[in-house]
Amino acid sequence: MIPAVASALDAIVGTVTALQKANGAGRAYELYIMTAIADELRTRGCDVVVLRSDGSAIAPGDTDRKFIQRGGVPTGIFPASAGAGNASCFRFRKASSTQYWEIWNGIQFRGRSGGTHEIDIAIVPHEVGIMLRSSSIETSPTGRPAVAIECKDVGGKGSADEMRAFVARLYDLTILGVHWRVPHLTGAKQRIYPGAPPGNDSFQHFWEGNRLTLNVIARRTGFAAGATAMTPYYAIQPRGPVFPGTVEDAALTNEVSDWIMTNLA
Amino acid sequence: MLDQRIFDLLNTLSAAGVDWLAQEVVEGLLKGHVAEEPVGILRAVRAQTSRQYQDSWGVDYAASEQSSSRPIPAELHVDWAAAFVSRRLEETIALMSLAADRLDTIINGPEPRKSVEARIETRLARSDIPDDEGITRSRIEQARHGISALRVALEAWCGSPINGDLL
Repeated sequence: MIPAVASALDAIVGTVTALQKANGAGRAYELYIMTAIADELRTRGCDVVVLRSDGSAIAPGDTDRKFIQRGGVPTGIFPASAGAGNASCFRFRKASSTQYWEIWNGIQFRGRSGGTHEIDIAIVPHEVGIMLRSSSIETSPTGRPAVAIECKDVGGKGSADEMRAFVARLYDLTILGVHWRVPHLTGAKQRIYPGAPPGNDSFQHFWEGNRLTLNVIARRTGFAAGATAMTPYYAIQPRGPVFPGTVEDAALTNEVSDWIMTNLA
Repeated sequence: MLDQRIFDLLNTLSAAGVDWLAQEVVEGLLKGHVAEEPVGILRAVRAQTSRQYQDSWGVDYAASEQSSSRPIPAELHVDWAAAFVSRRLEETIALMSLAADRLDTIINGPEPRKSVEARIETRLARSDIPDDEGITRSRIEQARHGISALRVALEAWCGSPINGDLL
């Protein structure tokens, strides 16, 4: 033990107890990126609000202004009937549109194999959130979000294996038109369900799915040499180092927001 | 081969409840310096992701060969670890602070308000901490001030004599 270091650490960690959680730093990084996108959308004229887990919006005058971030093991969406004590999210709508979207953090999505995959930051139609919150139990959406961002707040550089893992995850989440025969894909005519509005038909092929969505790996540190060889073909955007003040940080926020403004209803 | 003083630091981190940071110290030391993909390559790769057709492959970049790492010399382990620990905590707290600012802006709206709602801080909480009341931005700032003391303590530790050989 190093007493002086222990004392200084206790003062810091005792104030911000989330730092004691195994994923405390990682969740802080995800929240940083998530709030950057939400705030940028706000500056571009979008109507952006914070939703509690019961579906209610936090208003400026509310005294109960707590943004609850998902902790522990990743889960699906909890029912609104479970109250406001579960994870918060953002809801936004472009000024020119009536379509609302939600920005989620750390949600498990179910793939066509039946397995689940956590997406660190995901953007999905608001209707999907409404439908899942109306369930009586915690439920994962099946399919693929419009935007999927994998956040890597780790010291090591991004590897080819990390890229492979993300591609595989997206592959399992990509529902194609041919999958309506798969018994457990009850809503396979949509790219994400339940609840997706018209315009969310299942994809024709993986290539198309990768290009009709936005997929990003954002890293605090950069990528190891050779880690990006798979990315152009599978349309995975490598972003790093993404950190306050870096060129890549501003580029990530701006270009994700550009994509949303151009491609989402 | 790790400098054995590193184990004192790992024990201290673990006792403070930040085992994840102890793990990152070990991983960082074992991995050493890894060559990065240059920013120009990353930009070229991203430009390729937007092409629409599989036969429009216009390779105007070459991804680097898989990299190997360069070890951190054992005599620099303690300095590297001390700098890493303080920087990692400082940066994480800075991220929380910026996120809290943005949440306030999003909830309050773009104009600075002088009304009561502008003075209500949004608290950051976690769903896995029972009845978590969350922390305010002022508490995050309090933690940030603690980083200076941590840095001083770590620098003093770096300058302390070595009690044993390298393992």
